[in-house]
Amino acid sequence: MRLRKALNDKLLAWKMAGGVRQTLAGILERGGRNPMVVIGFTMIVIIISIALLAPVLPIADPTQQNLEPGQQLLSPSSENWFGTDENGRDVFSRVIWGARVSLTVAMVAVVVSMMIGIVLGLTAGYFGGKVDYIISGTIDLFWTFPPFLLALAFAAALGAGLMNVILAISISYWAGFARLMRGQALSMRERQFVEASRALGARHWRLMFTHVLPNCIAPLIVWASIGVADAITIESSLSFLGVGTKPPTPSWGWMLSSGILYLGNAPWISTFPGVTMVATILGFNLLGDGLRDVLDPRMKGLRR
Amino acid sequence: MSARKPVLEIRGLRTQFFLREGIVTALDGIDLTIYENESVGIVGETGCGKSMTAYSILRLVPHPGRITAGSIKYKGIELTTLDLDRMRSVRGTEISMIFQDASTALDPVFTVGSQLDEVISLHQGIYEKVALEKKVVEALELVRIAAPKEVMEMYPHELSGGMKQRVMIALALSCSPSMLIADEPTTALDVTIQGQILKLLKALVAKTGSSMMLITHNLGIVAETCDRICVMYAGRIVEDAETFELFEHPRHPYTAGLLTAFPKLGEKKDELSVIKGTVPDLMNPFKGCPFVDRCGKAMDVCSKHRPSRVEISRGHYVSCHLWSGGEPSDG
Repeated sequence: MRLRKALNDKLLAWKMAGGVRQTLAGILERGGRNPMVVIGFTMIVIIISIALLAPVLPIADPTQQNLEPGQQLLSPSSENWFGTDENGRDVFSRVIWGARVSLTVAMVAVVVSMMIGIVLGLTAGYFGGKVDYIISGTIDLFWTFPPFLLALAFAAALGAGLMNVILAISISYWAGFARLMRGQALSMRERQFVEASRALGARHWRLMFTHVLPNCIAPLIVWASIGVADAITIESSLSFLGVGTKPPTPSWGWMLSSGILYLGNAPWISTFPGVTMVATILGFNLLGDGLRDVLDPRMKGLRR
Repeated sequence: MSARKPVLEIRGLRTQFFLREGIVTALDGIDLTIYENESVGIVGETGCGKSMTAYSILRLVPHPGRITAGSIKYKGIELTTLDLDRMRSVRGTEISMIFQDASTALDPVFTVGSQLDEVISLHQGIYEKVALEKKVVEALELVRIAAPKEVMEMYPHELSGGMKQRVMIALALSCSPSMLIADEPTTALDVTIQGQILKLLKALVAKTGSSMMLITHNLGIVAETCDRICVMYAGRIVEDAETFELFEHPRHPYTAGLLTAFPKLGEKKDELSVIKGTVPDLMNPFKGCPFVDRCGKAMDVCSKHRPSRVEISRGHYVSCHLWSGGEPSDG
């Protein structure tokens, strides 16, 4: 009996994944015809692949200081594409390594907050009643604060460091996902296929995870895509203010902030990480906005 | 006749909704017995409690509704007090339900095969891929889908309305339930497909030996498909008789009204006859017969006392003062 139950659980997870996969396949198919999605997706893929390839690319060590006279604040050249900073470090290499940090923090934070949001939002929306009352209250409590302020407070309390930044962003960002998921679940649980499945003897958790969740995945993807852009901004802002990742870990926010002093005579120190950050955020926003258009049922007829 | 075993026995079932504005009595004392291998049609207008009877049997009455009185016995097991775990295994394996609109009752993100897989593995404990596939193909063949292997791989939106309803029936019958509840199974389909689906349902019920409860507002459908018909009005069953008997000798004024309102082929009429008035508000409890305000034969007693259910001839039950008070029962 226990074995059968375990098998059943395995099957359930597999089914849930199947439902999600089907939705994703649909999104990909329709997204491929939307220019915003294609451009945003391409930008993100390029940036992520460069960030992933950082260790094997022939670039300087981003933390290697060069304190020999005449090696600091060099303007962009064939040797140092983006110039060097006040400690003689290669800005180009630091921008690439900084992408690894920013993207990791943003994506992990979004995944964590999405998971918190899905579980709480699904529970609230599916069960309703008192459970919903309590969870919704908590969501609204978090929703009252702008995510950045909340993240700043948590980061300041937890102290600088990669894990702490991820934690701070996750804690302050999950409410959006939970709200979205709750609304979706609320409308899905009234749908007849959920009722039909219940009439055929399915349990609550089966209904929640195999029938409600896969049908709600589309708006979550849009929210996640825009969420990554938000999280990059938050992470950079935290680092800019000195409560984010600790130097010498290269981070866009920290580079922006340290370059301010030299903005007059060495503008490249701040400009290049800034431009890269804008490009990344633009990529994720384009993808998110494009997907929203693609998934909007009113646009379906037009795009097909 | 008397040797037949009852599958489902409902006695005095009352389902009420507790709203902020008051209590709505959706079902008020339903008495209904469904025997083995029998098709029973439940007819009545919108809001009379047909679907609620089905939901009550499966214990799926939506919030804030609740079964407040009565008993539902399935093969001798009391369903109203059964614990949830066992109730869940009754749903699907013992009593199954077909919904009105198959296009919304199938989950859009799963293939037909994987939805069937789910029900079969859930209730029969089959998890092995080959065995599952065999079962799924069998279920689809049962509802006469010509290419089960191909349909298995399809998503609901790729199927026509009739095909979707067939899949829905396959889902409901996949665990060979003894009791099938069909809640307006053909309302969303066009007339040709309606005929096919009804024929299929009838044949399947005969083949599997299960009983069927067919809910509809279309008298033509029940006449063709069912052995017995229950007419519902305002949460009560007002008349219950064999199909032929009911059409020949409608005893309750409401049934008689329904039958005259139903236009017959070849009949010339300038205006269709209607039953005047509207359904009473279920929020206000009524003392007498719920049909009194619309009844042409209403007497003083009708608004004062609730008519009791009398058997006026063998297997023909009516709840009406015309029959319980006026004429003696001959059954």
